Amino acid sequence: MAVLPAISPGTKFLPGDVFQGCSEPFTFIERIRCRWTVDFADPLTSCTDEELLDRFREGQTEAFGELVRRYERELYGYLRRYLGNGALAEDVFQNTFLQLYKKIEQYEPGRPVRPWLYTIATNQAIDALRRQGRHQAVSLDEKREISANGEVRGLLNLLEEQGEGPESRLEGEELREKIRASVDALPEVMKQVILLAYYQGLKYREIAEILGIPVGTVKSRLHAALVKLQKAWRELSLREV
Amino acid sequence: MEENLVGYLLDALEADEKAEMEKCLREQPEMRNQLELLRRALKPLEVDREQPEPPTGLIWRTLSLVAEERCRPVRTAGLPAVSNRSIVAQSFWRRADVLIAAAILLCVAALIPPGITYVQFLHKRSGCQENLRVLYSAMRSYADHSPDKSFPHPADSIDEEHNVAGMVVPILYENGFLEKSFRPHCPGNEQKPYAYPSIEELCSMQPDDFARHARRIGGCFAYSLGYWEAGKHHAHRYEQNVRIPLIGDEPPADVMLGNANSSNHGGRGQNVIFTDGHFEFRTTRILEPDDDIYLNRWHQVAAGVDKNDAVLGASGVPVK
Repeated sequence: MAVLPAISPGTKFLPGDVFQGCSEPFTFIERIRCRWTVDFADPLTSCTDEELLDRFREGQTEAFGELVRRYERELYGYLRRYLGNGALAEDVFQNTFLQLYKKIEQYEPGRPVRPWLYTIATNQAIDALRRQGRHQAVSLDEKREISANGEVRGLLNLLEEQGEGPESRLEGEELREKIRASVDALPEVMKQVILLAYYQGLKYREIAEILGIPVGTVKSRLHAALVKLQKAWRELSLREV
Repeated sequence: MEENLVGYLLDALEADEKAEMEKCLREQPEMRNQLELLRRALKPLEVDREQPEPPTGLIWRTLSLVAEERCRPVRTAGLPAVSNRSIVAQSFWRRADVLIAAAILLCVAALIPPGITYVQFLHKRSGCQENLRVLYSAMRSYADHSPDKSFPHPADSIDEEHNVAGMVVPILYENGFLEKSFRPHCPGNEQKPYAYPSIEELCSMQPDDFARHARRIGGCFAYSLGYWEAGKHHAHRYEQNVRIPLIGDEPPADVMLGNANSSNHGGRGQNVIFTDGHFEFRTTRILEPDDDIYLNRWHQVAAGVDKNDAVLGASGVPVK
């Protein structure tokens, strides 16, 4: 039985190996667990997303795990808000990376990974909602409302007339719940752009790529979403008076 | 233009559009007013800006699913042809299942980056939560025995010179609410073993000696610094349905700069227990807009400016 020095990057495990610094001989799983819990500089953490996918395609399998870790909070957060359900968000998160893995051969080297990942996640989320019968197709009326600039009242005009916001009447958890509910109540196409632009901090161009729509449409959907939110918050403030 | 103003506010514009917008904003005061109006209009969304916490083990489960896909050829290759020999087939299936499980485990292991410390992070976070719960339970018992339900507060019983946040721990020890073997310790922030002096010994130390001990007595946790009301300093009290931060992970070393999280958990966030016993691992130290758990509303490491302004201070911070 070989006794190996403390675990270091590149250490290979063989059946029966025992590692120094550990009180008991390891089982196979314990060895893997111990390997994870060793802190050392990891060159993968300094790679860009695109480099990680390149490396994964070249056979460095752990690059995939780094990508999952990197997007865990961000993408789960997006899906949790989009779907409004933690368990569904978790399923869609997992399926997103499964699809990424399956589509890896389609990846063109150098293509930005972030919008691609969001595209997969959004499509997976839409599929999940469709399976639950919750997906909203965009109605013609809605399209007209969003695209016809003349018919949508200017957001600024609305704001100039607007009194105090809901935060003047509500606070804490109650305010948070009401705000979340008002975003959830938006038509799906508007909610998508609010989530991607405001909560995920993506550029108009990236959102357009993710949703497969022109940049102008992203801007008008966001604008329409903000008008709807202002109206909802106004009603909320009046109701709380 | 209105849409680009929104885009500017959300940082959603490309570099050239942003530069053009900045030029317009410099030249047109009216546009600056409009920007301010839009900023105020978006403000309500801020209350829900914090990303939801992913469930524990999400990376694990995701990689297992991908690993299963990677190992799929193994499964199909291992499937036996239809056989009438059910006993043999059953035994083979069990073996095949074990082999598949082992193959999946190998695939998952291969997908995990070697530097990943996620498992370690979860382990340390839960160890820290456990210690904070023990501490809260002792503080709550103290409050239940106190006539006005006040949580232990050094300012109530220790002279001004020795009145630091971490004194809560020796107070709990000496009043019998906390086992003397307990250490206020977060596994994410390894500290050398420390032998606790008594309150009497601490209060009779020279200033330099005391300062050294003051930083250690509270371990790597932070404690409520109380609040001011009508010119008087007060400790927070236990009240049902009132949720104010009481203890948590210690603040980062550069608490006044930016809004970095505690270093106990690699900067990912901090555990906080509130006066009502509610527990959270918060990924940001900002509870609500303009409510930093490590600073009061005047951006000082000092007691809150009113009852709702809770501040958690590191062990050696004076309670005032």
